[in-house]
Amino acid sequence: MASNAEATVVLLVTVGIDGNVSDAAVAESGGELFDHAAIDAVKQWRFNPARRGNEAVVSRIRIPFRFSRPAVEALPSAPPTPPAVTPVPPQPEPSSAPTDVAAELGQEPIDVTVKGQPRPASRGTSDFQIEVGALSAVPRESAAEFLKLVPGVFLTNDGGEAHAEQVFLRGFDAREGQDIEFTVAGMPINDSGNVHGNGYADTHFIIPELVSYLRVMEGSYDPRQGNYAVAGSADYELGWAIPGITAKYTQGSFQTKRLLLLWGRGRAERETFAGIEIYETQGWGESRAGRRASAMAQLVGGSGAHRYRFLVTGYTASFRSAGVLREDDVLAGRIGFFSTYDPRQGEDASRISLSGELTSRVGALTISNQVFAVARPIRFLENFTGFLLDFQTDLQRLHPQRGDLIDATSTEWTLGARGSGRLSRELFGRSQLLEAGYYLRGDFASSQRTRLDAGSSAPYKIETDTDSRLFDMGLYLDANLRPLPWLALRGGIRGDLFTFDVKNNCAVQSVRSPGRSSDASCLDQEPFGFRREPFQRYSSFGLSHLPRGSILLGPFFGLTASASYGRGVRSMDPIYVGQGLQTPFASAVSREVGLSFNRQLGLVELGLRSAWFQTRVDQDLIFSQTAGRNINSGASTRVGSTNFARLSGSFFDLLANFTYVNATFNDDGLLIPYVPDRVARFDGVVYGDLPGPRPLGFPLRGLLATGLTYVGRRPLPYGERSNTIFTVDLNSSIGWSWIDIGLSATNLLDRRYRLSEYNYVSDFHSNPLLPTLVPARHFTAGAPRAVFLNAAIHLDGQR
Amino acid sequence: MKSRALCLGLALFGLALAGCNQTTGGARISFRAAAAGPDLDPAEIPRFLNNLAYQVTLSGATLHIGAIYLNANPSISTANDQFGCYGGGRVVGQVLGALDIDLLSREPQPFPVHGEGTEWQARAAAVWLTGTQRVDITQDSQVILNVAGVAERAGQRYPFAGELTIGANRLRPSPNPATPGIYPICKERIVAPVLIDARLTDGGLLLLRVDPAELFRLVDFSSLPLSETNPTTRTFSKARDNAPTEHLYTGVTSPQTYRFLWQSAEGVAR
Repeated sequence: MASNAEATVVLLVTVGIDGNVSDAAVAESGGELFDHAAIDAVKQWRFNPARRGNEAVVSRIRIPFRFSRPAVEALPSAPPTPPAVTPVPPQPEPSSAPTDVAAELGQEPIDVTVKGQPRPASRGTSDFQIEVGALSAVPRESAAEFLKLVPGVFLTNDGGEAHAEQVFLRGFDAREGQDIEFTVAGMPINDSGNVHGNGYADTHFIIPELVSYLRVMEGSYDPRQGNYAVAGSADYELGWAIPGITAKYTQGSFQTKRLLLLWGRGRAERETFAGIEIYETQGWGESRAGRRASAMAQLVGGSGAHRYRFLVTGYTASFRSAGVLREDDVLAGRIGFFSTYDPRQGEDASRISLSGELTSRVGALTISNQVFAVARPIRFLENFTGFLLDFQTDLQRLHPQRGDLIDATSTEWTLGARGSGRLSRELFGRSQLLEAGYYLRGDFASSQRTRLDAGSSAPYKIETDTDSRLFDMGLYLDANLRPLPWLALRGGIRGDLFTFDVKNNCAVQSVRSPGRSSDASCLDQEPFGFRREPFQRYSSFGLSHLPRGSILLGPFFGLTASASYGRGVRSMDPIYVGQGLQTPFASAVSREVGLSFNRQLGLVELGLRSAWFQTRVDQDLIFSQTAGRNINSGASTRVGSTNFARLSGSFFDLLANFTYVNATFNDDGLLIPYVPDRVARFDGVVYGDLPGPRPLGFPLRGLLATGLTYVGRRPLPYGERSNTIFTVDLNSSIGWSWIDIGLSATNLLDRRYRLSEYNYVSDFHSNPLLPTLVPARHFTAGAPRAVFLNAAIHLDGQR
Repeated sequence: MKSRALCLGLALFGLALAGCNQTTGGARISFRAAAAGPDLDPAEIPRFLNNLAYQVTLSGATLHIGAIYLNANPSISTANDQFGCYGGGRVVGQVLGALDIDLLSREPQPFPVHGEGTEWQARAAAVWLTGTQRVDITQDSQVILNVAGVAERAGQRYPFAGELTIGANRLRPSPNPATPGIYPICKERIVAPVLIDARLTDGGLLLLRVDPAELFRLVDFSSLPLSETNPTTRTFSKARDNAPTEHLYTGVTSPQTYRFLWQSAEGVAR
């Protein structure tokens, strides 16, 4: 590595006829870090292609980069990609074949000014920072499916298409986000105080096409990670690289229709965009119809040492859900594989969010502040147990079982801010970074869960009714030190203070020695009939101290070894809060060691990672179908290995990952149910211009993308295992100039599989006279094959 | 323990292709179920002396059982309104098939369906005397008990017959207006807790023995009303209008009337 953070790198860059960089090779090295920085930067550039006459041709140019210490920002610890604004190099001269046009360009170095956000410094092998790039062509129905790009992720959904995916990450059953901190552009997605489960994180409001970058950290190794980062965290960055207006229409199986309109400023300013999506489907089985609309717009700009970003999102959806089926009923032919017991199930969800962020550099100090606001009404209708839970109580008039359909609603308002100050100092001949930051979030949530009568759908029982005011104030210190060229020490400490103020509007639901009868759910009497108000207020707090750190050794010829340690927490679900001085919270300790290898091998870029990890959680959460929510269980430990490989070149991008994990309860060593111990995923795309005719001088473009998912047999309660899952998704398209047409298919092999499986007690009147009260196998059906026709036009005059 | 170490080893080296034999614990099981009269000499079963010195000779005794549930909690009770009629605890076994048991036969009469449950220790049982309706529906005309015979005391003979049902005729009014739901019909139909102490395992046999003598232990046959259609025979009525009928009903709904035995698949009696 060059001393004093200065170096010169000369790249040999191949520019395609579309103006994109199809290859970049190092002609003169300035050190591995600078080489990567230069390559990453130039890959974001877009050129005016060289032309012979009126015809665009491939060209090759030599571009020298000179890295010098900038006035305000020290040596980036990670390649400074993507530059939001880059100089457009001179147009190469035409040539009959790929030609070295260095002479035309001259040998004067180009001074590169990098704007935009530098990528965070890696915290170890399990810190996955993934440019989605061409892999966006792999069929994905939601933004959550991008998580599959990292090892150990398996997604299920038993609540319908508007329901957040249940995420399994590296041995965790994170349910709908309870154990993963989700953010988009730094704005929180997890719902604190959500009636379905604290930390519920629904990413369906994110238009998948707009996901440009994903950072998933498996474990809690970065002090910036906050509440819910028990299994890890996932941050989505958004962007749209195609300039002008893109209109995309999809129609296919099950009367599915989708219209998508996108606007962007092009690759160099991809962070500025606007998009709107409208989607409708009749669903692939009974009670699966739904519709949604989503809009997102982001504006990024700035000048000099200031950068701003505004993001606004809006989303509304209404979907039906089939829920679970009993295996014995399906095998006996009492109900179909894609049918439902209760067609009233479903979800209505909306979300509006605003975020504003300002980053300024003053000398060696970079200050960033972000404010955000989220409004989130949501309603769930779920029936996991049929007719099981409606007990006749002494106070009630006589009644039969009225059914277990849960009607759960939450209205949440979130206000918050986060910020940091990062100071760069020269020490040991290298740049050293220190950062202090804060996080402030307030949630105001009203939640109610009732049960509805099976015949009339009238609510007959209030199970919970709470008004919550929840606050999280976090502070952290983080250091990014390089005492030696091959040694990086990164980490610090974070503290979070959680405060809870919960008003339980239904605090009394049963009374010994009642004074009068009542069919009401929330009673206003104490024993012997003494009157009281039915509510009770509880306030409490919890304070966490979270040390986190990583050591990275290397790179040595592309190989980096790392070791990481950290603690993460999940705040208490408001429903469990009692009056007290301190409220406990779930705490996880993660440890791992790993190796990563990154190397440019000719025209191919290769990345390999392997990590071995252990995570201990003191209070795990397991979903209870009878409670209809997550309930506390004991301490647990996960030990395993994640493996990742990505191979990319000018016309392909291949990514594969495989995870093995052993997740057990600490007290008896038994496996944690439902957590898959083997997960494998492959994403691949091949793309480029097709040989042959070039109508009107424009080449034909071709693309073929596939996603393969394998999930081993998951452990289920009572010593059983689920079925394996193996699915193939495929997308193909052909394009010319401003139009693309393609076919995509999900579950191409049309495998009939069970997306999720459970063992628990339910009574769906399988036996018309007698309740079933012992555990039985339940499942939610996986989607059958679906085929879609996709058409897109790009109204920018450049394609 | 060895298996767990192997799995940890696999995880350590990333060699995840081999299988691990760890488990979440427990198992779901299937077992056979049957019911019979007492395990006595066939000639002795119909003849017994009750507590009021009646020598009873049964010519017929049939008991209708709707279902059996086995629970891990020995103190399940339908009296606790926190758990409703299911009695709380954790159900670890169930037999969901109705059977009309000939109480005068000692030979096991199989239920029409296999039982199912989980590998666990059963400590209490609930016998459901249900018929044509779900347990919480009041109207049900199913005959639960059908008996006939002769009782003798002090040289007097009391031919008798009768049927019991548990429907609207057995609905009890609440003694306290503050607790209108204290006596739902399901509590009349569920007999619990019946003692059992058996480790349920796959392929085992659950045998229920019902001693008809227990049904008549407190019945004063001389107080039974005569049948309107057959004046030579006394009859148990479906209504709650005489003490002998109530005593017979008490016998039917008493946990002491029922005795469970478990035989594992290997034939080891528990």
